Order: sequence, then structure tokens, then C-alpha cells
Amino acid sequence: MPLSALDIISIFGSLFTLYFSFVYVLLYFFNKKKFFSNPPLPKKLPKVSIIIPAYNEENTISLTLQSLLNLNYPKKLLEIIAVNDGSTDDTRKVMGSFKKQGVKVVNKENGGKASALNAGIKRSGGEIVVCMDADSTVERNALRKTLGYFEDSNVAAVASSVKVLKPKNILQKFQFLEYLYNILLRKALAFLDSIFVVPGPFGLYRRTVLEKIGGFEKGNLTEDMEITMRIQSKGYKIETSTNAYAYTNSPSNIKKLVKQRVRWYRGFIINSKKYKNLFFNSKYGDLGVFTLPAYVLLVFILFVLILSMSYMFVNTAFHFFNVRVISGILLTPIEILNPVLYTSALTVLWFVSITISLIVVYLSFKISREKIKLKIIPVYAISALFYGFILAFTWFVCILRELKGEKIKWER
Amino acid sequence: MGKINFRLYFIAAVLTAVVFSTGIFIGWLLDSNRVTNVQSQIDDLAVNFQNLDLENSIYQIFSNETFVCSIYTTKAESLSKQTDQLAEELNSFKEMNQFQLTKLDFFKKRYTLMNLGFWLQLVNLKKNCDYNSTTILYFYTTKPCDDCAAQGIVLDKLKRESPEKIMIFAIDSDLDLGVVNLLKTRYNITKVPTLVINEKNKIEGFVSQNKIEEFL
Repeated sequence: MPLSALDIISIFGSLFTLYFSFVYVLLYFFNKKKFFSNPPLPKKLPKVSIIIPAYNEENTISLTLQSLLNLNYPKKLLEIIAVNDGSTDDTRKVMGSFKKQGVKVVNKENGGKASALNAGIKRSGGEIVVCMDADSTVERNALRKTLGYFEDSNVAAVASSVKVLKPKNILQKFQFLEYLYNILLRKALAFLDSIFVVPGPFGLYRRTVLEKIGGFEKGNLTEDMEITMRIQSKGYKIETSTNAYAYTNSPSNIKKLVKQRVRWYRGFIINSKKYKNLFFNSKYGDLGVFTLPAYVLLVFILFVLILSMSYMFVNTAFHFFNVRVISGILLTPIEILNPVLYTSALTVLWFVSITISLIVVYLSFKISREKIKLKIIPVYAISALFYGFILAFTWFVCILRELKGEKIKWER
Repeated sequence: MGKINFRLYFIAAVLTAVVFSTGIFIGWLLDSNRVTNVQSQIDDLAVNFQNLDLENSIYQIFSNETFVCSIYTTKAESLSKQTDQLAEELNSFKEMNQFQLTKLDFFKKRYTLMNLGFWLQLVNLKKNCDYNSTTILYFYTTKPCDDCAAQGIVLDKLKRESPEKIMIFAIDSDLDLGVVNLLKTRYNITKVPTLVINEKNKIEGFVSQNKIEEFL
């Protein structure tokens, strides 16, 4: 059959995904050792201040603080500052109960996450400032694995590797997979000096740089992305460790997920506009000429591909059932398909793309030190379309809102 | 300030190009293979039909019969199987091929000509000999048509259940071929699917299995 519009889209889609996958896989093979290891701890350990802004997090904050108290780091070099951003629940009380274990508590009027972070930073004294989400936990050795990167005086920030905390339902399992993929991606991007988000759950910053460039931007939808892009635009380096793990709570239903992603994606659009001078600017190296444009392109491809695939899927299913209803014959005997007769050039192309994607998934698991369960692969493969559809739909909503110039509702 | 990894992007591009063109090449090989298959089946079938015609002519000279029943009756079923198989190959060609698509039209014309030639022989067979298989002309389209797809499934099932009792001749009504146009005019075919059962009963639209079975 001649190529349909959908075929052409899918050919371009698989061509681009193939290319990007090759870039990541090559980066992995070029820097195999560095993917897994971290630079050694500095001889003189720096003082570290950890800031935890919290707004109505009474349920999760104690786990967060507990994981910080368990950190394998000299107590006299560790400062933990919990900032209560005018919570209306019992966050203040829960924070207070940690005072005797050395946690400093700052109570302020509600002003948003960025303002809470800034307030905490202002009261802190560490050379390294760690920003931590109040719904996340961190593993014992996270600091020991990340602090070594700051030995390079040009490094301004270090990202941890974020995993989904105890994924239960299928939606959370998808996010789990997505986060693993992001760990691989972020590390690959580090070799291109291209990290454009230091995720909120556990991000380390050099104090002097924060002071020089100013703190977090108030009211920004994704203040972590904003400050990362700002750091990049000033020419500093950002590193990441693939084995310093932070664990974060993930949305458990579609509504919550869409809400979270609308904030993220809208934040990406807003901050991309704010730092549009980074795009296609060779002054910023790989970040400007490859990573940021490629990311936008990939989102676009995902968007078009998922929507057209869903259309095709629904259309095919409709006609399939329609034909069954008309003919009154539910099942035709399964004929043994002759693979030579029924394999087309497109099938081959799909097969190749899927193989490369599986390699990327395999690498994601490998660098995140997760075991692959073979039996869940088919489930993932089938439902990936559904998850992709949710994300594509979310992008659609974001782009639409942006085009309409809708005001941003800042939710604490 | 920033450095650009041209080497990386270049290698990735080369790898993508290699993988992509290998895929296309394999696809092309498969497509060519299908073309060769269809071609050889058409040739095979053409030889068989020519042989049949010749056998018939020779019998006529020796026996003064105008139509030799025994030749056709014994061979009808195997020929029908062979044409069906060709139809399937043509279908996979149509569904799967991205290359050499221009050949499809030609192949379909050759197939239709042979198939209708076969139909004509069966019509003669029914007229002159003790042969009572039901012949069905089935006009369809390759354009999207759920009724046609459903009709195809029903006819397939019928053929599978009683291969000797029913002979189906599928005709792509969009095919630009004199004999197809002639039949369309003769039977006044205006819509698809349409069945012509035993050369006289025309039924427009989808026909259920039970209804077809009434004619058997």
C-alpha cells in the first residue's frame, strides 16, 4: 500500500527517536566508567545546609526529616532547616517535634516554594546548599556520592537521581519507568553540559553561585528548572550522580498526574521563553544547539505520534468490530501468517525502533541498578500507548493555555 | 564558551542512516520477494489454463464433443484452490508492499483475466455437463468499505466449509479493464458489495451467510 500520512509521521518519528537514542547510547559507551562512579569526597568536607520548604505536608515531612537525620555525614557539618511556608495543617507541629534532634525550624507566612527556599537559604550557613522536597526521602550516602563533584570549581549544582517511592498501581509503575529513563538521560546530558533541570527532590547548589545569581524566582511554576537554566546561562557546569538516590511520592491517579505535568510542562514553556536566547546559540554549546531544540522536537514528535497512533488505533478497532457485527462472524480461524508474505518495510522499521528503545530501557534499568522483570515488558508495551496519550494530552492542554495566554495559577 | 560535540552527532547520524537504510533494504528485499512470488504464481496458473484449453481443443478434434466435461470436472477444484492462493498473495502484496507498487495493477489485471476465464469455463461446464457448483461473482472495492470486508469474511467461511459446492470470483470493480466494465454494465452494478449468484441472482449490499446458503 502506498504510504499514508500516518506512515510518514511514524517514519519521521522513528527516525528521530532512533537518532536521539543513538546519541544517548553512544554517550553511554564513550563514558561507560564515569556513568557509574562518582569523584571521591573532598579531603576537607564542606559544611552542608539542607533546606526543606513545606506547605501542608504533615503526612510526608517526618519521613523526609528522618531520612535526612539518617544521612551518613558528620553531624557538626550538617545543618537541616525545615521551612514551614504558612501551612494550615499540622506541619508546624510535626516539624517542631524534630527540634530536639537538631532540625532548625523556620516559620513564615505563606509565599510559595521559592520564597520558602530563599528564606531557608538566608538563614543557612553551609558552603553547599541542598534543596529538598518535603514529599521525598533520600538514601544514607547521597551526600557522600555527590559532594565530590564540587571539587571542580566550575560546578555550580549537582542533581541526584530521583526514583518513584514504592510504586503501587500501574500509573505509578509507568512513572517509575519514566524516572529511570530520566536518570539515564540526565547523566547523558551531563556529558553534554546540558542538564536543564536539577529536580526538586534533592538538588545541591554551591552557595557562592546562588548568592551571585540571586536565589529562586518567586512565583515561577518550576523554580527548579528556572534556576538550572539561569545557572546554565551564566556558563556554570551542572553534574549528576546516577547512584545518589532520592525517592519521591508520585501522583496515584490520572487527575493528579495531569495536574502535576501541566505545571511541569507549562513551566518548561515559560522558562524556555524566558531563556529563549539559549536556543540555537552556539555560545551555550550542546545545550543551545542540540539538547534544548532536540527536547522541543521530541515533545512535538511524541505529541503528533501519540495522537495519530491513538486515532489509528481507535479507527482500526472501530472498523474491526463494525465488520464483525455486520458479518455476524466473531472470529475467523487464525491463519498461520507467513512471515515472508506479511512483513513490510514499515514492520522492519518498527522492529528496529522498538529494539533500540528496548536497549535504552535496558540501560535505564542498568544505570539505576534496578532489576528488570521480563514478564512486565508486554504489559508496559501495551499500556505505554495509554500513558503516552495522557502525556501528549497534557502537552496539548499546556500549549493551548499558553497560546490563549491564560494566567498562571500558582498553586503552593 | 560552550563546546559542541560534532563528532557525537555525526556518528549518531551515520548509525541512524545505516540502521535506517538497512531496514529499508530488508523491506525492499521482502517486497521484491513478494513480486517474484506473485509473478511465478501467475505464470504457473497461466500455464495450467493454457494447457486446459489445449487439452479441450484436442479432445474436440478426436471426439466431436463441443465441451469435454471430464477434463474440467476433475480439475475445477484444484484450479480454484490455485486461483484463491494467488488472490491471497495479491492481497499481501497490496497490504504490505511499499516498493514496485505499479506492478500491482498489472498483476491484478492478469489475475482478473484468468479468473474470469475460469468462471466462463465453469458456466459452460454447468450448462453442458453434470456439474452443479454454485458460482458467485463478487464485486468489491479496495477503498474503505466495512460491508465489503464483512462480505469477504462470510464468503471465505462459506468457501472453507464447502470448497466443492461454491466457486467465488472476486472482482475489483474499480479495475480499469474492458471485461470488468462489460460485466458491470451487463449486471448493472452500481454499488459495492454486490453478489451475482449463478449468473442470474443479483443482490446488492451485504448478504448474510444464511441467505447465500439458500442458493446452494
